[in-house]
Amino acid sequence: MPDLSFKQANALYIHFPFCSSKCPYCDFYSVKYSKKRVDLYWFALFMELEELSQKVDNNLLQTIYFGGGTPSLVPPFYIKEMIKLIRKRFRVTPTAEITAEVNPASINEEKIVALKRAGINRLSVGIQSFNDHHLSFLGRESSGEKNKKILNLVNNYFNNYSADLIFALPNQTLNELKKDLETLLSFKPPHISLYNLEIHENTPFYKRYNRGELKLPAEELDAEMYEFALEQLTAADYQHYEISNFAQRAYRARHNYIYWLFEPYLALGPGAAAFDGSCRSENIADLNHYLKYYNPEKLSFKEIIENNQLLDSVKKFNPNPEIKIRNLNCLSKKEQMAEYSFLALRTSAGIFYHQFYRKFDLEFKLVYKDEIKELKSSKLIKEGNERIYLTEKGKELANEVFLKFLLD
Amino acid sequence: MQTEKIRNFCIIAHIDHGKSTLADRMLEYTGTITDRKMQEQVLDKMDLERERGITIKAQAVTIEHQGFELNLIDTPGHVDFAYEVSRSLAACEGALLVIDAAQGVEAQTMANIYLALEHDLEIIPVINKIDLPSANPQRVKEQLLDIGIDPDEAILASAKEGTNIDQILEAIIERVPAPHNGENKALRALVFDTLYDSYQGVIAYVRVMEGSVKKGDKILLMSNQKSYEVDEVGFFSPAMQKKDELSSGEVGYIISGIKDVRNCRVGDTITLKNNPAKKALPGYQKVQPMVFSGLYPTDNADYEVLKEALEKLQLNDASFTFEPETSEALGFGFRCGFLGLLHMEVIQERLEREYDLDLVITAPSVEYQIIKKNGEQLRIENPAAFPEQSEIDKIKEPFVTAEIHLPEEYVGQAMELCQDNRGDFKDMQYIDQDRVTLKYEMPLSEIITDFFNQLKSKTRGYATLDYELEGYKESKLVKLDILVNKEVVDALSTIVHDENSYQQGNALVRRLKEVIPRHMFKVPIQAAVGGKIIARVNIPAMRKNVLQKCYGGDVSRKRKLLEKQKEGKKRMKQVGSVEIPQEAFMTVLERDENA
Repeated sequence: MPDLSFKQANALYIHFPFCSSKCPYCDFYSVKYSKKRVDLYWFALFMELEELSQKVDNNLLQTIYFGGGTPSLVPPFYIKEMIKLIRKRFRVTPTAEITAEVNPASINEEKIVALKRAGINRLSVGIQSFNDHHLSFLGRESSGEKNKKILNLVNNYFNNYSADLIFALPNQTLNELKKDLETLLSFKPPHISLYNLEIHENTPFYKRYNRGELKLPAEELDAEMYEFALEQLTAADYQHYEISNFAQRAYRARHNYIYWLFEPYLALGPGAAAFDGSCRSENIADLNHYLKYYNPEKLSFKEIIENNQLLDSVKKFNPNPEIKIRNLNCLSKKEQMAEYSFLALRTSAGIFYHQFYRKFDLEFKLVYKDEIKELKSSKLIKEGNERIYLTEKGKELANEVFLKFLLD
Repeated sequence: MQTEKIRNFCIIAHIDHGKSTLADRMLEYTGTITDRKMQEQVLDKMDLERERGITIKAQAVTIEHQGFELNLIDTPGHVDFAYEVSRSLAACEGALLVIDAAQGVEAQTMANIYLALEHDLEIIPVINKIDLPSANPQRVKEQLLDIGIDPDEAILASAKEGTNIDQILEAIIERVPAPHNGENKALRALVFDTLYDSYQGVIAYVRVMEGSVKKGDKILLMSNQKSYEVDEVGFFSPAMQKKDELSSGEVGYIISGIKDVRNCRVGDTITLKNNPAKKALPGYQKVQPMVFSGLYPTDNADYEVLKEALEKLQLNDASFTFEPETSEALGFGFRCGFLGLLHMEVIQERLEREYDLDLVITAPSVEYQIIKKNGEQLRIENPAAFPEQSEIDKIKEPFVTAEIHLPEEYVGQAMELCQDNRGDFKDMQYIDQDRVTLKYEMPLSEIITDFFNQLKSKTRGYATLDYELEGYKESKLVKLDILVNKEVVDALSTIVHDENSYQQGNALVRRLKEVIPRHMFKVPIQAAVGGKIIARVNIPAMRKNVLQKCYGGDVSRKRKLLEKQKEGKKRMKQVGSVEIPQEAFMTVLERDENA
């Protein structure tokens, strides 16, 4: 089977595909949480890690990210063991950013502390809103009060954390967003991700949207909300360093930044994708399939750890060669240039011509000569010192900009 | 076959009363088709026909039963093909009138009865779907009595379950008259349909009225005096089966190396060159397209592909015309002529499906006669080609007599709709207690402007519509221009009645606002008559379009989403700096419910 070849990968993503209930807007892969399957899954993850470590050598991990799904459903000591094994198999810089996504509905003070002890040094908290009505519309099991309580706790134990907020919800008023922002800013989170509600295919919201049962706010209001949020966050000293992301100085999301820089990354778990700079390898989003491939023993994770048998058990892995668990997709040079361009343009830094040249051996200004001219004249991008970047207007109409960088 | 042993019949029915199912069942029962895996409804051959549940092309099949030759001719079921229907009926002596046992006599049933009587056909009523729990054959029999058909002659049947198919076949043999015996006369064969085959050329579907024809004969088409040598004759079973000779009373096909369907038109009479008949069979008409629209490839590079596709479609369809046309907005394309709206839709769908073409289709138009002040006379079917208002003395447009059959309770709404569409009331007749036929004289241009859809929606689908061309009459018409971003888009121009121009201009710019996407800049949409702006709306500039989340595993998906957006833009037509989607060119013909 053809596979990725990593010269250098500095990021590792680990997917935890379990949720206690599925949010109707979410299109990430997840299944219903069950303790038994989580144990099996955790062994399988160790096996994939083992397998991966044999393929990749001499990597220096700068970021590790536990995403989901709902990683806060995993007992923290599972995560601790995972980080331990990662440190055994890979070089990890002492200053590595190690993030876990947490859902306020499935976390408490004890878990927060335990996660910190496990080696997590950054949390990404799925707040989404403080408004009970909107939270329940989004299928979130938390409440406004609970969200505040959790943020307080997180604030107590973590210097570095991020909070997600969703806006442009059906019937949401500008005033409601204002309240959400005020509440969030009162905690001074070091990092904020701000998304408008997007309707993705294969979600319950998509079906409702197509049936006309779900109406998103008008484009004007959506834009007004975004502009309002930008003002508030800038006034509160946040840097708008990526289209949907805001950070206080020094608290940018280092893991995500690797994606936006089109740098390689490793990935574990069904539905997760790894990238080696030109090819992407995506694990098929099917837990049963994944478990069949690694075929872990049906053991209790706790007992294995207590008996110090983890490594023996993991080393027994003997994947089933009949089963294909990942799809490899190699990008053409044109696709690479398009992805590089629209990813880099998401960041406030934009595209540096010399970086583009180093990657593709082509002059950015020649490849996209007409596009740059057109976008500049419509004031969607600006040209700086050997780089282009989105204007404020360009950030709101980013797709119109990105389209120009797709090559036929 | 001796004529006494031949029966020629068709099946007529209101839509969905089970015409095609009954035909299939008869074929199965008589062993004409044995293949168990036959596709449902053998006689409707095109996918489109099956999907829409309508018959577009006539079909014929010969059934052998108890020593008799029963020729079933399946007729198209839409007003656009009224002429083809009339030729199919002219080829028969009898008709099965199929009525749904639950629905009863419908408006179209009446229209069918009149049609059958006009062609002097023996009518055999079949009350179908008696298996339905809601079936009420007794009520249908009473209705038959009301409309002057002997209910005792009706056969109760279920085509779906195959009940009483034998009785129907028996009735055909006993009640449908044998064809008139004209074996000693000169050949006269009626062409009731044609099909083009790339190997054999035109296959003419014929009913031999008199005389006979065989391989090697020199035939003559009486309308155009062209002659050909017969390569093959035969019948349909339902596949084509060679035969030595087709003789008086029989139904089958003639292949004679004709390369163009326009040389062998439906309704023409075939005779022998060396022994020609004195007179052609009555009723031949060269059908003329009544509805015109511009077809443009979205991508100008597809022009040649479109041309080839149109040529191929025309091989099979003599009633469809096309000629090259240029539009400032749309580039190079073709002005195409169709029998009616359904015919137009069918051709457009076939182009998009079978030839994978992305098309921009302009709103349908009729052919106008214009008399200029300098006396010059013009015939124009493209609104964009209209002369300046100031040069025009008179404009004439085609009028039709529209016959609407509908339940009495909807008469009010239907009359209102007709009046709104410049209809002139002519007559109203009760078919029975609660069924009515309305007659209006109306401009054809109104009929092709969403009229039928609105009629359907106002009568909850119960109304049927037939129309016949009356002739040209003078009307006070003006050209309504549409300006997008201050530029006239010629392909959006329409001809409207002067009195309605303000209202229609207003409605149209509002509809265009709904379908033209926002741009980076404000786009004004204006309607104008004779250079004077009569309506305006603005499409506000785009405010926000951004994919918010974009992380590791998602990047390729996002790129594909963007690629899809880009593809969508490509399918739009760039007019000046504005991208106009295909549907905008068709919204011209929609009407607002309340307008």
